[in-house]
Amino acid sequence: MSRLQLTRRRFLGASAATASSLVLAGCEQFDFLGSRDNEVRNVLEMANTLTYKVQRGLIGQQSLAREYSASEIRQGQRPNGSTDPTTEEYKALVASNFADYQAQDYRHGGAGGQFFAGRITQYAGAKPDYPS
Amino acid sequence: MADAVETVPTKGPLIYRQSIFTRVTHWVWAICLFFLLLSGLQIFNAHPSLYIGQQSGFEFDNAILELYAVNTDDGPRGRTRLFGQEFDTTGVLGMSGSADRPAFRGFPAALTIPSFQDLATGRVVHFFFAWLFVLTMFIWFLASFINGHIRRDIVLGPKDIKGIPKDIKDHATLKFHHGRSYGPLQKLSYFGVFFILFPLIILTGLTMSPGMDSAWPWLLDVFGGRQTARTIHFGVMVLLVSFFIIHIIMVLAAGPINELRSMITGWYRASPGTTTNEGEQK
Repeated sequence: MSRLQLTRRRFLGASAATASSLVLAGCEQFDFLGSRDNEVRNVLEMANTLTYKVQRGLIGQQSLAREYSASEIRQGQRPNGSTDPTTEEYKALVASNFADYQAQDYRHGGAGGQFFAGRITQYAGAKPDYPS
Repeated sequence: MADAVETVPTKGPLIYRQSIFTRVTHWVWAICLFFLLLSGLQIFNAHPSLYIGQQSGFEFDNAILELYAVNTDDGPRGRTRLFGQEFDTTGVLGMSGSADRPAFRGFPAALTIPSFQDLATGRVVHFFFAWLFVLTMFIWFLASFINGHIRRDIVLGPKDIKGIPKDIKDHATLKFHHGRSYGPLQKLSYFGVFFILFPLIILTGLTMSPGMDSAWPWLLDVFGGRQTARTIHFGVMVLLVSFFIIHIIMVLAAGPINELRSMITGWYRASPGTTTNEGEQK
């Protein structure tokens, strides 16, 4: 019986510890994982190498992304990130309405064909709320 | 001595119910699912909407769930739109945080790892525990096939199926039979988790990877596109969270000390009259 009570006490202690860490967890408990030079984070990041290697092994050299016909595209393209660069080169392209725009095909050393005629719309994405 | 004999029948035998593989995988999964859930909500928050189909519609509406904030005459409010029905969820979904420093985000800081918006870290945490989860599942399936855990406790036999109505009645009246093997409803829910929910959440997770879709294009056909896969992934998460809640309630109702002991030491106090080889089919 005394052995059982000891285990019970240990159970209660362990479950109380687990419960309190569960409650605290979401708050700031694991925010240290966000700092890029944290040692624990570096260990967790090793899984990325595993993911990469396994995926490249499965994908092989010849697999391509699935292609969709034009009729399956239901809407315009919306870019991520900067939508209105301020470089001279880009401004000149805007001025000519992208008439001279060309995608470079570096693999074969030559210029590729007209690549992108999609509209550019402003993307009002959610603002990041990093702690200040 | 006669008095002692009188009290003995109220206690059943102590039986070795959970193998070391069952116990270790159980707790590793508990840790994995905890981190997978909270880092998953972090990843979800990067775009807190769910769609059906091949693409996320912004020129057409194929969203079934959206968490967002709107400006009203009373200031900003958090909103949730589920199957076209809009709900005010200020403080929890769409908008949370303190009144002087509100955060416009899907799930609140208390439910994400890290608490602030950081998709990259969410992915690092999610994929690490996803690998650990899958590795543990591989070990569990292998060990459970060999030691008979799947045959004895997970797959329903004809006897279990016949016993379902009685088991429902027993659960409704909180009368539990503590045997060597699991009861019919217990088997049914664990079968659902191991053979349906776990494979489904892994495969829909892989479908979200463009790389995996080029390696296994059938994933897109099975789940009807990356956006549908993402929605199913979220839906299975909701089912697993429900399973967790019921699991905890059942542990509390069936005797938390005994249930916890069996999942830590393996030893379980069975109902009186239980033979130690009950449920074994050799």
